[in-house]
Amino acid sequence: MPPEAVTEHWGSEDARKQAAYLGMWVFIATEVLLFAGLFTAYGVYRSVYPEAFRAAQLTMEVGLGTLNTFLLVTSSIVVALAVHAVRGNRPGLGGALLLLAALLGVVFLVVKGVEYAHHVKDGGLPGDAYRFTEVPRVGASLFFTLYYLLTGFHALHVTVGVSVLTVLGVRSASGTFGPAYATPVELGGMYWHLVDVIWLFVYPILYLS
Amino acid sequence: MFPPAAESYLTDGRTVWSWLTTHDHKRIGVMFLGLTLFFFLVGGLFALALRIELLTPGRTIMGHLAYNRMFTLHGVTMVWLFMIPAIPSAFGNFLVPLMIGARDVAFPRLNLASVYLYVLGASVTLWGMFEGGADTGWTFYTPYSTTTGTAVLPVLVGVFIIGFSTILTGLNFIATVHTLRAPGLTWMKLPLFVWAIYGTSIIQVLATPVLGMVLLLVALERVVGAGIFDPARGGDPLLFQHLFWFYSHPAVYIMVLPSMGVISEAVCAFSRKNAFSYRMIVYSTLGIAFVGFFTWGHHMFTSGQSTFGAGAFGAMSMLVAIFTAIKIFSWLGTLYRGSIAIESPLLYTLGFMFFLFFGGMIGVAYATTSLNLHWHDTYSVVAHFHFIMVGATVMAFLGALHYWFPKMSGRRAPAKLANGAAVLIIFGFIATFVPQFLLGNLGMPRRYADYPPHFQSLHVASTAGASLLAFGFLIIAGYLAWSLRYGEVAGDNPWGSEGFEWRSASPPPTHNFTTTPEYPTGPHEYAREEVPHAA
Amino acid sequence: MTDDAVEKPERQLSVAGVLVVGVVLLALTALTYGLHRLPHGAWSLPVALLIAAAKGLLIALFYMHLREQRASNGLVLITSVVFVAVLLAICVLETRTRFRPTIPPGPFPVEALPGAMQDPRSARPPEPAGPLNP
Repeated sequence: MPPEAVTEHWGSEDARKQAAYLGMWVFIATEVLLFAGLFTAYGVYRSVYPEAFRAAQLTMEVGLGTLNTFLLVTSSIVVALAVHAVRGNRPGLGGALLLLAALLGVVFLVVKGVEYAHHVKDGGLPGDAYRFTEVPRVGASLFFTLYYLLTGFHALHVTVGVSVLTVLGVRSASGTFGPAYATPVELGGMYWHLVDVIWLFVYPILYLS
Repeated sequence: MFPPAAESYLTDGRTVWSWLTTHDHKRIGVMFLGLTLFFFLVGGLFALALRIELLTPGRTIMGHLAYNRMFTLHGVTMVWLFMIPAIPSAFGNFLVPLMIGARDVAFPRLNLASVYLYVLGASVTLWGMFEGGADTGWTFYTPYSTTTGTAVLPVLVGVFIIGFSTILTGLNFIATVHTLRAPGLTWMKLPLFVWAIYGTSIIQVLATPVLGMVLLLVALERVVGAGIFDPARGGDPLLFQHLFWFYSHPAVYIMVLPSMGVISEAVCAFSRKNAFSYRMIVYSTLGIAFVGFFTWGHHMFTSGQSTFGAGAFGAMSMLVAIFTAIKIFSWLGTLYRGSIAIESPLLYTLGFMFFLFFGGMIGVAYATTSLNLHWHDTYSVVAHFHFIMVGATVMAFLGALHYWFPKMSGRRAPAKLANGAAVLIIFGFIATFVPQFLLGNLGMPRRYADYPPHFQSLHVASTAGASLLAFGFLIIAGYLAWSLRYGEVAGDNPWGSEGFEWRSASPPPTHNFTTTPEYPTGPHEYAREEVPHAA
Repeated sequence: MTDDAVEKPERQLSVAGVLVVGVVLLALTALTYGLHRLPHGAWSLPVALLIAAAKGLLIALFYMHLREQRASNGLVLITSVVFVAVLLAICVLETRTRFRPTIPPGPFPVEALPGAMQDPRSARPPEPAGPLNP
């Protein structure tokens, strides 16, 4: 149960829950708008340099990108199961599932790191450092800059998400949460799903089409 | 020192530590008020320096680079450190929970965090100013901002951090209004100020992240040469302008909507009437918040954007005037045949309505692409947006300060002095900015330290007006500081207002209400019985 | 239970439900990849984005529990998506309708700004950029 003072502050348990959900949704809206700037830059430059973007896209490692997509989707399913377990009064199982999801997130980051290493070897670097001779510089350099910005900001969010899931997993395993008080797990889960959904949009525009 | 009456939020813990660690929305509001007033002073001093430099052609007190830095710092300080947080963070924090019958905002700790983020961001910005300051103008247009040798980076980072503070405040208000309204207080009974803050919060939450990202991109471009906006790499500086104004045009409504909320409250209180068409004011608030996102391109008419874009943006910009007109007519309808009390908040209200009307109508003219070509980047535009930002927002801020001063401190300011200062401010404002309209129309470009001699008389008039304004602010600062300690004790409701915030004691106790407030009627309900004006 | 309840527990998914949604998500991911392997043309981007949107909707409704919550929470999400669309659509539209020489990289080689003398990066030699328009 949440401490007495909190219920007093809220007036009712319903108000507390609704404020938590609504606050989280508003936060998610700000995250979506944060990425909107990058998506807009991508859209504008893709419409200006369709050929260069296509050429740069063909050099992406689709296999690793797809692997990462599957990793994140799987971890999302695991988190959804974890929330279900905590709500169903099985915090130990929930904690274990949260830690598993965090592990999948770490694997995602490792794969991403491998990919970055390949790009560095090729010279597909952002901005001034661009040395990739296979595709023309004007336009393609923008593609690579946006690639690093999108995946970089996303990786930052994955890192935050992994930390959140780890903390929640440990606390849940030690029995802090249960059916009466699952809000932190629910909100942490929502954050992780957000990270997943953003990747679902990053993946096709950078790797596929 | 403060009214002896009952325990209030001011007497609940008197140490500095109790203020620094407070979760009380009222104390946080007061802290924001103090901080924003300080930065208003700083920004005002920059403005005064600019006006003194422009007193004579050629060099008066500073060179060109210093002048460029000065107007940049004036803009940055006034926009992000004063105007954006002034009414929402200071008065909104203090009043919204009181108006909706809540004990506090939804997330008090986030609220405190937003104070510290603001202080951190402001400190980084100030540090940037001491490092030499940016010379890009407050808009940080690329490619100049990515290539100039001045200290742009700390200013960018500072503004970025302040963005988080804004977002937290907005998030908090949205959650508060949704979940903490007292039982029986339905949406259509909410005071108009709460509606205004709610609309503002939506804009803050939606627009600020985009600003954060674009500032980050400029910073990355400076540090690691990211090159998103660099034409040498095929980048498009216009994209920067798009992303920047996607935030910064709605930001105008972050500044103006809360002011409109203040005016809605004051108009009802000082004419002793219900709001004329409450619903239309509410809908126009939301309408402005929405349409405000579709008008940003009118800042870019001469930038090379497409004719199609310019036309669409121009037409959408004119729509805002309709919503604003709805509000102005509603306020006039409220005043009409009301029982009007000439008090300082009402004087500021009248000033606000005149300036908003005047500045807004000129805005419609500027939204026509053909006329805009003549006025773009001249003093006309400077005068236009100062009519909205100073003429409207600062007037409303001062009105709010006088209207709620008794609520916050429990004491009243000397009425005659306050009225005199209000008149002085209004005339000082007119004297400052009307000459700038004329200057701009004659072709004086903005952001220049120098000008041909035939512009001098108008520049002198403008500087004279600015000194009048400064003198007025000095008087206000003097008597408000005096009243904090020696002012007449106000009592719970010195204006005899029906606003919900006056239902608790003044100054309010820590938990706002001793009994659960009930809301049988809507806000500003004066029809029930004759409420005499307080003497 | 009124429509306005903060949570509607009767709408919560069972474990089986969570897994079904998960399988659909994985299938859609596989579909995206499969379509990529097939020869594809101008429609590939809209289709890929549509699939991504469908997955996002599933996750929001079921995994982020929108279906169990008040409508206001969904409204927040819709609003944010609408404004992303506004920003993206207007910016792209504006770029597409622009007077040709003002579209980057523009008709002329780019030269360093006169004010940018200290900055070493601005000393980079101007290179002919993009299509050479008269």
